Amino acid sequence: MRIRKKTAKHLSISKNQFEYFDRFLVASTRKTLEVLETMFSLNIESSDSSIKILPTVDVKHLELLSSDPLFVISSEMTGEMHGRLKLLMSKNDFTSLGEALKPTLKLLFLSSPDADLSTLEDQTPKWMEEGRRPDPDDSVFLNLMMDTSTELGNILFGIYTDTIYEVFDLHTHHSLPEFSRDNDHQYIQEVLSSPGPKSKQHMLIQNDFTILENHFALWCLISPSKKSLQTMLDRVG
Amino acid sequence: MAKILIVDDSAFARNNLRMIVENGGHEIIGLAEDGEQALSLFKSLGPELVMLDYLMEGMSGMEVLKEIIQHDPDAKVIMVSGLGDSTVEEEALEAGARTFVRKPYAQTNILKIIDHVMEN
Repeated sequence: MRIRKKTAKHLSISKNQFEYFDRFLVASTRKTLEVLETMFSLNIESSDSSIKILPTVDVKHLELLSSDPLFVISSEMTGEMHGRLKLLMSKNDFTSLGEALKPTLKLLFLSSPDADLSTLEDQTPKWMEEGRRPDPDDSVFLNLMMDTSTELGNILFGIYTDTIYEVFDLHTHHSLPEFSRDNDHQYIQEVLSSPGPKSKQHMLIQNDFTILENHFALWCLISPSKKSLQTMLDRVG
Repeated sequence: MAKILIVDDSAFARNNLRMIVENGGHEIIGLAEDGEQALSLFKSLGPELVMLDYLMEGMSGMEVLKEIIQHDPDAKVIMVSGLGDSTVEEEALEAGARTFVRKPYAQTNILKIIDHVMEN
């Protein structure tokens, strides 16, 4: 596992303060890996991780946001810190995760009490067959992945808030996560531009994983309010 | 073997937990995807144990827990959640949950917890 870190030039964070963000990255990456392995009962490799602290203008121009469409799981952060949490996946990452989770999704589909077993054979989507890559426009795939990735977001947001407590000693929790398919990035651009709890700086965490030769990246955008980011820095300053 | 009602708004979480507890020899007598359905199934099926998600749309897990305990003060409820904040755990235990389990579920761990709750 290779860990990279980067901070914005215009934000004054001391070396000591950045050490805490580094600890946050290491701890949250380790827990994320453990969670993915437990949740999906699969062997997963973590290849690269990074944390960047970026101003809104830089987030808006991220290469990730040029992917069409973008799959977003969103939550609000409350408690001793306020802000927003977003799990972002490009179309390619979303499909690769779905491909890696095909056995899990198949089991979920086949074992659902809602499934009509009498006609299940006819209904089983073609992408569940060996060697076929899921189609993000397939409604069954999208529904199964919407449910699965929202639950993944719920658990990962729990990890991030738990690690914020562990590293910065701030009690926070997240709201019910919501899934959205952001076809033209209007949603994410609106979120970044909206007045809301004002976030001038964002923590962008990237984790690259490999499951069964499928590579995918999970991006988590933590947007603390200006006051909350200052509280974080003060705690470790 | 316990007769269990699973309450979670995520189909993935419901089915994942269902497979784990069935592999452990327990019987799932109901699956609910929201609080209203959970209360209705609790009253009609009389489960020996409820596995209840904390964070749900509509009625929250805490509201469901309080209603279940009001209906049956001896009800055995395990609160489950992806939330990382320990204050949530304290709140659930104070409201009558037997224990609190963090998601995701590790098979061996969750089966031991169910056995422990059922024995006590």
